[in-house]
Order: sequence, then structure tokens, then C-alpha cells
Amino acid sequence: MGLTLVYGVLGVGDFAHGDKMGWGMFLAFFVVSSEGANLGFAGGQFGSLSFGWGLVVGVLVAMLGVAALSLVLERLVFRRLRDAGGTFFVFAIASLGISIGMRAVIQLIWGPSNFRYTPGIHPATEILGGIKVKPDQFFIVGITILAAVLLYWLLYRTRFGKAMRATADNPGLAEASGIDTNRIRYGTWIVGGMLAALAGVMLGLQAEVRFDAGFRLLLPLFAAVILGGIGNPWGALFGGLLVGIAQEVSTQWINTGLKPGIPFVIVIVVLLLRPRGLFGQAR
Amino acid sequence: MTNRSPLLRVEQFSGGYVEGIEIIHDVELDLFGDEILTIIGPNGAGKSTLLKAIVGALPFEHGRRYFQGEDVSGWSTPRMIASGVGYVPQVDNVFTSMSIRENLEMGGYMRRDGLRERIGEVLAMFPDLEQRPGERASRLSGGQRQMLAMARALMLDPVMLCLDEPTAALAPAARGELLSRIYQIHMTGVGILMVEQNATEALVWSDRGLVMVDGEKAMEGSGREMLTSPEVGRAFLGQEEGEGFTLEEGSRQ
Ligand SMILES: Nc1ncnc2c1ncn2[C@@H]1O[C@H](COP(=O)(O)OP(=O)(O)O)[C@@H](O)[C@H]1O
Ligand SMILES: [Mg+2]
Repeated sequence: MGLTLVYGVLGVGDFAHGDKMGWGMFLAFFVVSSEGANLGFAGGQFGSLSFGWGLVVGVLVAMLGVAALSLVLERLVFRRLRDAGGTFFVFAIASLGISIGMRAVIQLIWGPSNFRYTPGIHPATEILGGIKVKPDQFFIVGITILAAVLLYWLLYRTRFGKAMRATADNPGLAEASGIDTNRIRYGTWIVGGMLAALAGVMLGLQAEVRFDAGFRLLLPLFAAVILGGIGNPWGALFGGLLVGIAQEVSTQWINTGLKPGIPFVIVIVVLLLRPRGLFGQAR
Repeated sequence: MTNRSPLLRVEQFSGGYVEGIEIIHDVELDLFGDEILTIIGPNGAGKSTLLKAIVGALPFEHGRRYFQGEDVSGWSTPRMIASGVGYVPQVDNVFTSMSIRENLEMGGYMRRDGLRERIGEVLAMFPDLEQRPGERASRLSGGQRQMLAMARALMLDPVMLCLDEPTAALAPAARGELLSRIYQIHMTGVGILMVEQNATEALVWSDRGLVMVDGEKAMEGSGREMLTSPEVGRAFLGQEEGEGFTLEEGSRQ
């Protein structure tokens, strides 16, 4: 969702989005891990969830940190490229470079191994039809829905959010309406960065904390965005669900090693049938 | 009518999209608050570029522009808009993915108060829009889009409105209607600077006309002078030799 927002409003295919998720994941890990514990944050658990206040603080730190990082990158890199008349391709290459750099820094600090927010085994409970779900997963779904609702509220109900949509729709006309599009861009990076960080922590909670986890998710993420219709947050959420489900279900029939290829098969099929994505509207 | 000071003054003005490639050269122009000034000229003459320059939307400019007596050379578009200039671009002049009401909200983005009231007032000027404020702009007809584009530009109560070919995409019947709407807006105290391809119809409503050719001002005069001038007639109004434009045809009501 953050990615499609950034793409829609800023026209930047942010290849660093996956690694922003990675940074969010590790910033939160820093807070809950032993280093963070020394600062007095870690510990505790909520009911049957695997985490406690430590992770809540971690999420907040991660969101602020990644948002700040995104702002710095906009100021130092993207704004200059835009002022110099950079094309879409230039932005893509720049963000790819940033992506590699960000991942390298994570690897330098935390190394290539895997971590968990809370060590130990967290039992899954059985729900209907023998499908097992962990309490954490309910939590993740809840947070995702909450984030989607908040994003919708921001974009469709607030003055700033509407200005974000206006800037995405037609930046020149936004300026001609008196909207300071630079401020809107900063705001978009903040929201996009916060969403990336949140997604990163949720990913770390669901799977494991690993230096390239965000990056590995980047391609399915782009697939989800394209599926949902670029720049459409609801579409992105639905596209994400579709890609995720398709990947899991497909392993019943095909080799697990081919799983990463599934998003692309779906994208190719959808784009052949509906070039603007499942929910894209003609202009 | 003596000793008036112009709403807009442009002096020795040049500019373009890439430094070194000048599109408009040395243009001089005054617009008074009680005037409709229409710029005509062939395609590619730099008419749209001049309007963009006036609202501060051009990458580079040389020379001076004054608005309400103040030197506004180099001011950005949002700053010009905030100081009382409304601008309707030639193309892409509505937010297609947004509703009529949202388009107007964006037009009034800088308003500190009275947004709702102003939306109501502006909608009342355009009955077509008032009927369905929730409609997406992409679903409107060409004429309705043009109305919405003007309505959006009116949201901040501008004292000057810059319109780039407002009737270009319209059927002949709708053109007259739109021009008379522009005249009504003008009568509420808004100076109008517009570019028009449908020159004859536009000049009928105009106090003054200005001909631009190759980025320069080629001619300037009252609306009548323009309509009755043989050179202008032949070159821009599609008249044959000797086929003058009579003042009865050209009178307003
Ligand atoms: N965005 C742009 N970038 C570069 N050149 C442009 C741009 N828009 C217009 N031009 C050039 O500026 C000149 C004048 O164009 P324009 O002002 O649109 O003319 P008009 O409105 O009189 O038809 C043309 O030669 C056109 O090619
Ligand atoms: Mg033009």
C-alpha cells in the first residue's frame, strides 16, 4: 500500500521500498532485542500473542525512523533528480541503488543470520476446517485492515490526503490550485515510509527477521501493486491478498521452488486481459 | 477612464522551457481590471507559454511582471494563485479522478474559511455542475469539464482569470454559452485574459485583442479594430478578401 501510494503520488517506482521494510523490521528488532532491553524496552507478552510492549515501542521507533529516512532521501536524492528533470528510469535506478545500500548497511550491523522478535515456539490454534492460525496472525490481519482503513480515511476524508490525490492526478494543476506540491511529496514519503516500516515489522513477526526479507518481498509487492491498478490503495491490498493466496495454494500442484514465479504468471495473465490492473479505471 | 493602473503589467518579457531556447520574446502587455483581453494567433505562436509565464509556471523567464502594482517577477504558481490569479490551463484542467466537489475543494485549498459557502456560490453559477456534485470529473462532457475547470479557478475569488482556449473542445452552440458565462464572471469584477482559437466569437466579447506570432506581439487593438481589420480578418478570422466583419454582427447583445 505504501508502495502504490508513493508510486501514484510521486511517480517513483520505489525499489527501496522492500529495504525500507527491512529497516523497519530491524529497527523494531533493535528495540526488542538485548541491545534494546538494556534501554529498558523489552519484555512482557500480551495474552497469547508472542510479544509485548517492547514490540509496540519497536513499531513506533521503526515507523518514525523509516519515515525520517525517506524524507532525507527525498531531500538529498529525489528532489534533486526531479529538479534536474529526471525521467522515470532515472528515479528507478536511483532507488535501486539506495535499496542495495540500505540492505548492505543492515547486513553490516546485524549480519546475515535470521532472528525472531521473541524466541521460542508459539503454538497455533485450530480454526474451522483444520486450518491452523497463530494468534499473531490474527493480530497482523487486524493491523493490516486498520492501516487500510486509516489510509482510506486520510486519502478521501482529509484535506491533506485529497491534496495527495490531486498531486497524483495532475501535479501541474495542483500547483495551479495553490497546493505546495513539495510539501505534499514530503508528506507522501512520511506516510509511505511509515507503512513500509509497519509492513516490515509485521513481516518479521509472521516469518523471521532477516536482512533481505524486505527485498525478497519487493517483486511480489510490485506484482500486487500492478494487479490492483497502480496508485490504488484498495487494489494494492486486494492484489496483495491475491498474490499471497495464489503463492500458497499453488504449492499443492507445483514445486515449491517455483513459488516466486507465481506472481509474475498472474501479473502477465491479468495485464493481458486488463492492462490497467483489476481495478484500474480508464482515464 | 484616465489614470487607471493596470491589474497586470508585463514588461520586456521573454521565457521558455529550456534555458537558451526562448519561446516568447520581448512581450509587453497590460490588462486592466475592467477588461477582457483576448490573445489570438497561429498554433505554436507561444500563447499558452505566455499564459504559463504570467502565472509563474514557466521554468525560466526574463523581464518583469507586475500584479496589482507589485513586482511579482519570479513568483511561483502557488504564490500567484494565492495573491488573486485564477488559471485554467488549455488541457488537463480538471482532476479527472476526483469528484466535482473535490475538484472545487482543491481549487479552494488555500482558503482559510468559508470553503463550503464558496463551493455553494460557485456551484450556483454552473447549474450543470450543481445537479451532481458527487460525479467524477472524468465522466463529464467537454463543456461541463470546461465549466468545472473555470469553477475550480474561481474558488479563491480571483481578481484576474487566465483562460487558455476555453472553447477549444466545444461544439459551436456550447461556445457562445461558455463565452457569455465568462462575460458574466467578468461583470462580477474579474479581469479576464484569455487565449482563443475561435477568434471571431471571442473578440466579440472582448474589449481588446492581441495578436501573437512566433513568440512576439504582432498587433494589438480594441476588439472592434481587430474584428474589422482586414489583415487580422484574413490571417486569423478565416475571412476572404473584401469580406469585412460588420459591427452589427459583432455587437454583444
Ligand atoms: N512543455 C513544453 N516544453 C518544451 N517546449 C514546449 C512546451 N510546450 C510548448 N512548447 C513549444 O513552445 C512553442 C509555443 O507553444 P504554445 O505556447 O503551446 O503555443 P500556442 O499555445 O500558441 O499554440 C511551440 O514551439 C511548442 O513546441
Ligand atoms: Mg496553446
